[in-house]
Amino acid sequence: MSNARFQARPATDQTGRPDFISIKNFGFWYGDKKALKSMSLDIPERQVVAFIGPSGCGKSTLLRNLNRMNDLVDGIRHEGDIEIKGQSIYDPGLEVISLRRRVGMVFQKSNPFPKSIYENVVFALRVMGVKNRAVLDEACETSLRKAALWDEVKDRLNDNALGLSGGQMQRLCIARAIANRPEILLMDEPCSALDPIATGKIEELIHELKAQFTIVIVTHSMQQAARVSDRTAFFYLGELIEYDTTEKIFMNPGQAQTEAYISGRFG
Amino acid sequence: MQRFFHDELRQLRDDLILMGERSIDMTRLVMQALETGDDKLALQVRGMDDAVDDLEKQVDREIMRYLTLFGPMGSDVRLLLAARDIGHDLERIADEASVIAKRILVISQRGALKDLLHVPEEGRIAVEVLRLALDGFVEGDIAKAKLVITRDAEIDQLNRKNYEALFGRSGDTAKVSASNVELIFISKALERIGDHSKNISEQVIFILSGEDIRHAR
Repeated sequence: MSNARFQARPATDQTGRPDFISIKNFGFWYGDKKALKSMSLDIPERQVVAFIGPSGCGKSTLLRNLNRMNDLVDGIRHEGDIEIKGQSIYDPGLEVISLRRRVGMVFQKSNPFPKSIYENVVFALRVMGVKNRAVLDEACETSLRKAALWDEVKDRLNDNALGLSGGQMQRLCIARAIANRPEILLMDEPCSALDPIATGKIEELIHELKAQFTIVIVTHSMQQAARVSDRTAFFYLGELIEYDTTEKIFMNPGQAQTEAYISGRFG
Repeated sequence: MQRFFHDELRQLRDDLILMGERSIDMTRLVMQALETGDDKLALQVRGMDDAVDDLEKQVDREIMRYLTLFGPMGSDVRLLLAARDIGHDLERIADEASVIAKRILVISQRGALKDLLHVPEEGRIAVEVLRLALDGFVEGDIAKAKLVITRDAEIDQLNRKNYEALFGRSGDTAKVSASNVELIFISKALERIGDHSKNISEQVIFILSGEDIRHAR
C-alpha cells in the first residue's frame, strides 16, 4: 500500500488560512450526462463549507468526488482536478484507500454496523491491523468524546449499536469516522433524518469539530447551512453559481439566482 | 440546550449596554459642563458621539446577521426587534447630549447665564431616568421599566416650567436673551432624552412580556 502523504502548499485564501482543498476546473459525467459543469473553488483548512442547492444540482456529486466515492459508479469520468494540500487526489501514486482514510464520510442515513458500540468505533483500526487493546480503548474513548457521545454510552459500550436513538447512531457514525483520524470530514445531509434536538446536537458537534477538521457538508436546509458553515457554495443544474462567506451568501448574495433560492422565490 | 450562536445574542446585549453606558456618561458630563461652565468638558462630550454612532451600526449589523443566519424564535425575535429600536433611541440620546454641548459653547461665547432655571434638576432626573431604563433592560425588570414611564412626566413638567419661567404664560419672547433661548433648547433636549428613555422602557416591556404598550391612548 502506498503511504503517499499530502504535501502542504503555500496558497492562502482571503482569510489567510491555507487552501486545504482546491477544486480546479472540475467537471464530471455519469455516462453521457454531465453532472457537474467545470467549476473551481478552494476550501480553507479547518473551516466548515456548506454545499446548498435544489435536488439534482450536483452538490452531493461534488462531495462524493472529494474522496472518490464516485469511482464505484460505472461509466463515470471527470475533467480538471481536485487537490488536497497541493496533491491531486487522482495522482496515480496515491492509493484510494489512503485518500479515504484522510477524508472521512458521514452519510444521510446513519449506518452503524450490527456490532457493539465499541466495535463500531474501532472498526477501521481493526481493519488496519491494530490489535493492542489499550490503543483501541483509547481511540474509542477519544472518538466518542469528540463526537459528544461518550457520556451517554460509556457504561454500555458492549451494547449493540442498533439500539441507540437515531441521533446517537449518527454521532456514533461521526465517532467512527473520527477514529480513523481523518483530516477532512464529508457530511451528506447528516441531519435530514433527525429531530430538532438531535439536529442541534450534531450542529454543535460540527461547530466544535472544525477546530480539528476541515468539514464539507451537503444540506437541504438553508437554515442549517447558515448556522454551521463559514462558507457556502450554491449549485444549480450542475453549475457552481456562487461561493462566498456564509454571511455574504445569506445576507447579500452577488447572484440573482442565489438571492431567489435563499429567499424562497426559486422556480 | 445552549447553542453556540447564542453567544452572539449576548454580544448584542453587551453592545447595547455599552451604548447605554456611553449615552449616560455623555448626558451626565454635559450637565456637569453646563453647571460648571466647563467648555473643555462640553467639547469632550461632542467628541464622544462618534463612538455611539459606530456602536449603533455595529448593533444593526449584529441584528441582521442573527436574523439571517440563526433563525431566531420567541423571545429572541422580540429581543432582536427591540434591540434595533433601543439602539436607535440610545444613538438619539447621545445626539441630544452632543447638541446640548454645542449650545453650552454658544452660551459661553455670549456670556455665562446666572440662572439656569430648573435645567440642572431636569438634567439630574434625565440621567436617573436613563439609568433606570438601562437597568430595566440589563436586569429584565418590568417594574423599573414602568417606573421610567412615570418619571418621564417629571422631566416634561420641568421643561414646561423652564419655558414658562422665561416666556411667561403669554409666550412673550421679546425680552428673552439669546443665551436663554439656548437654555430652552437644552431643556427641550433633556425632555427628548426622557422621551427616548421612555421608548427604551417600552421596548424592555415588549421583550419581557410581548406586550406592545407604545402609543397608549
